[in-house]
Amino acid sequence: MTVICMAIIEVRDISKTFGDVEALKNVNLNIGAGEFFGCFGPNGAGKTTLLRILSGQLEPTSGNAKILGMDIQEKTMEVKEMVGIVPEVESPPSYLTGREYLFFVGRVRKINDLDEKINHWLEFFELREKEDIICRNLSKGMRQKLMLASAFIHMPKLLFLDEPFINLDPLYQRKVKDFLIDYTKNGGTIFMCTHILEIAEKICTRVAILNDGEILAKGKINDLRNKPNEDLEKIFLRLVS
Amino acid sequence: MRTLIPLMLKEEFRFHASHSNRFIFLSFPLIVCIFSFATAVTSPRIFEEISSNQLIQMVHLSIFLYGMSVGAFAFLGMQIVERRFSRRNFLVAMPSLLPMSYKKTFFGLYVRDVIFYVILLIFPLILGLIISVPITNFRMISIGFLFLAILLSFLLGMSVSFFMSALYIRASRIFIGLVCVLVVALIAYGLSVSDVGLLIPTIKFQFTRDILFFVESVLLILILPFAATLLTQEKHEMKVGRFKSVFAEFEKRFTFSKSYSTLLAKEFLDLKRSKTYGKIFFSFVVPLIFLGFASFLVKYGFDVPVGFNTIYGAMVGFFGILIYSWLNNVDVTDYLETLPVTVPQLIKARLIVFAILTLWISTIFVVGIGVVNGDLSFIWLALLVMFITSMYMVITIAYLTGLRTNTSLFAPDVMLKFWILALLPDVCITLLSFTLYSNLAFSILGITIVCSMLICASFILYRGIEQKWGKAEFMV
Repeated sequence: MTVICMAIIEVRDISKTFGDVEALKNVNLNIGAGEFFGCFGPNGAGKTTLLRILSGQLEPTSGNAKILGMDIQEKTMEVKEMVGIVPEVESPPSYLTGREYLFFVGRVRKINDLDEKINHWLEFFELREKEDIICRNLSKGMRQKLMLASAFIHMPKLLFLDEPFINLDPLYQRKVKDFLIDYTKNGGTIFMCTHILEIAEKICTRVAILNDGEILAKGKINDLRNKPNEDLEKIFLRLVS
Repeated sequence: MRTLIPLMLKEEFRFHASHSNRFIFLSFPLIVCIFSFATAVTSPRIFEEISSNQLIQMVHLSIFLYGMSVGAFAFLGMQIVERRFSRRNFLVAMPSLLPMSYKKTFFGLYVRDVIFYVILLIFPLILGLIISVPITNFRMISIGFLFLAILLSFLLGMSVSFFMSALYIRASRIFIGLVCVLVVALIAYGLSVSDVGLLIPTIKFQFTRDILFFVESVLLILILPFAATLLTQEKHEMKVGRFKSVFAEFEKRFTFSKSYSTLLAKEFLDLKRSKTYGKIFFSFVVPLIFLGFASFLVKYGFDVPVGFNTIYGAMVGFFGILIYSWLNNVDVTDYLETLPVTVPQLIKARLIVFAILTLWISTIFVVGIGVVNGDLSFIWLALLVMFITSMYMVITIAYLTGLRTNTSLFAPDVMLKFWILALLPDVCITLLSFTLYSNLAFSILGITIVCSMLICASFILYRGIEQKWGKAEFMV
């Protein structure tokens, strides 16, 4: 049994329907401070819908969620000010350069010492060479790095990451993974959806497996194992097949 | 083409229906039909002010301009090819993945929209006239002929627009040169002759029924899209340029707008780097030039003594809607979902962009037309009308359609509200302008009352944007 000291994310009976499609069915979750929480499931399971509801991008049909102690439906803007979000699709604004996009994000978020922070993240992702190219002319990987930088730049208490490693080369997958581990060690909390189970297995402290809008299982990976050496991929396949 | 066109039609229908629902979308032609019927039934009152020929000519001009406004397929196609509309992708972009040609899909867009708009607009428009026959006693043969002629006007407008947009993308300098030649020709022509038919042969065909003008119209309708298709490139390569970081500089320019300065800086950078200024010129200034020409024609060609400056002021406001629509199509806004920014904030920022972009152009045009017509007597009133109607129209359209102007306007409930909220006051000002010279006090009092109501309504609708769109998503 997992004991959670301080809930950063509290989800109560969240359901979501899109027309006739029931994307989420009475989802309940508690995620505590410093957790690296992974959310997995087959395509169309409802992972992105859940992430978008929790990060204030989408209204649930029923149920409610508290993020950092605030009701996400009532305090959407306040929550968005305090969290970082990496969306499923890497879509920074087409006509701003990388530096300008981070500047824009910084101004919207009212960040102090902005130039210093922009330089730090451009260097972290080795984007200095390309900082004056407009985003639509950047490769997918570079756009993804920009989306990651824009979510990290204000060092929020909570990160919502939807497929953060997609389009990144192995070098940067490793670099981002290390950064995220350090981030949680320093008290940050992460809610992540991904299909890359090898990485998730190494970094997630707890996971939930969704299928057809329902949580099939949740807990520490060890607690979900049927056999001692069962890896996350096998757990996943066993639960969803 | 046999496979492509039906699929493109399905795609277009589903895209539009996704913003309302199928039933509401399909009732759009019914509303057009009722509107046409109502206009026909009340035509005796309209004919007291202008003749049927003048009205038909105005209908042709409007239909031609509408065809132009929806026919920039080369812009539209390129926009889809270069980027997905948020998470959506369209058949027109498929040649990058499948053994198809862009020439074919771009031409497919043209054919698709011809079918789409004819079914959605032209047929219901004519049907409304046919239904009115027992009351109006219009002759069926005249309605049939009108259908053929306005169909040609619409197709000609679309064809011109398709060709010009393709030319702009392929050779922007030639495009600018051609537009300059056309403008000069229009001004020179307008000042010496009062026959719009030489420029738009479909109108000449309507009135003379001369087969030569029919052949000329059909030839243009065939040749221009064909030429536009030839101009379409098969390989699309994006130029990678480097840009100096100027965001902070841009932001400083808009400090007057306080909390909107960051969004305004981004919007103006988008407009500059996406070269949307050229498209705005195409979709706003060119119709205005045509309108200016029409104003000259009505005054000198028809010798109708109207307060045209005020009509013009109202019309300029109407055309401003196109600009707001363009502003919503420059780029995707998905990434704003991840930031503490709301849809109403972006809508309001775009309203400010609209005011900065258009009001000075509109002022030049209203004053310019007054000078060309040799009538500056009510220019102060015309400018007032222009400012008020421009802002009222754009606030109304922003309130009704949010960030999805193009598609939402085809939802009949939205269109109906738009007609009631926007077109009725515009028609009132237009009718009052007709009496400016015959009954000055009545006309000015009427225009003042309408404008005062529009100011109040603008204020209410502007405040209403927050409530209506506060929970809306950025993703289209």
